[in-house]
Amino acid sequence: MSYVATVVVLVLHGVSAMLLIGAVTHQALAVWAPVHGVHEGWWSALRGVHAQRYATAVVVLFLATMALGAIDYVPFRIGAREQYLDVHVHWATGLFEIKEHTAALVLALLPAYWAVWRNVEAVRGRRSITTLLAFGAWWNFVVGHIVNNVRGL
Amino acid sequence: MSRAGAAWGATVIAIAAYTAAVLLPLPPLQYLPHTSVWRYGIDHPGEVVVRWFGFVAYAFAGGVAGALLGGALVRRPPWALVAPAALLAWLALAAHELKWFR
Repeated sequence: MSYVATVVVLVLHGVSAMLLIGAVTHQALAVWAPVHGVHEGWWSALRGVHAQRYATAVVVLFLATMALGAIDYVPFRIGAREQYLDVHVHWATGLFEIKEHTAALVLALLPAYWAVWRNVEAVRGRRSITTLLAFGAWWNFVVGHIVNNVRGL
Repeated sequence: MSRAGAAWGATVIAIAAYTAAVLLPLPPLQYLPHTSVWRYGIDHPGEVVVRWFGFVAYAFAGGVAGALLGGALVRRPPWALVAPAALLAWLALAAHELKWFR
C-alpha cells in the first residue's frame, strides 16, 4: 500500500472514529439521563436524542472504524512501532496494545449491544453495555491520538 | 433458537476466547508483515509478527460457537452479566500489558 493511501485510510479512520464518538456519547447520555418532555438548553439537547435510532449507526461506524484501522495496522507495525515505539517509547506501545484489546472486546460486545437495543425491557443491559461501548470508543480515540502524536504513520 | 440467547452467547464466549488467546499459550495464528505470510502454531520469540489478527480470529470463532450454544439455551442468562465479564477481561488484558510501562 502506498504512503498516500495509508494516510488517506488513517484520516478516514479518524473521521469514522469521531462520528462514532458522537453517536455513542449521545446514546450513553440518553440512557443514563433521559429527557422527558420539552426542554431547552445545550445539556437537554445533548441527552434528548432518540437513542434507539443510534444503535445501527454505532454498529456500522464501529465496524468501519475497526476495518480502516486494521488496514493501516500492518504499515503501523512495520514502520512506527517496530522501528521507533518498541525501541524508544515503550509506554506508547503498551497503550496501543491496550487499544487493540479494547477494540476486540468492543467488537465482541456488538451482538449483545444490538440485542439489548432491540429489547425495550433490557434497560440495565442497555445502560451497562452502551456505557462500555462509549468508554471503549473514547479510550481508543484518545490513545490513537496520543500514539499518533508520539510517532504516526 | 433464541436470538437474544445467541447474542448473549456470542458476546460472552467471544470475550472469553479473545482473552484466552492473549493470556494463555494457545497455538498462535500469526501474520508476518515483512513476507506477507500467514502461519499457525509456530511461535519464534523475537520475530516480528502480527498476532492481533489471530487473536481476533479466535474471538470470531468463539463468537460463532457461543451463538450456537447460546441459541440453544432454554433460558438466556441476564444481560447484567455481560458488562462485568467484559470489564474483567479488559482489566486482565490491561494488566498483561503493564510490562510496557516499567
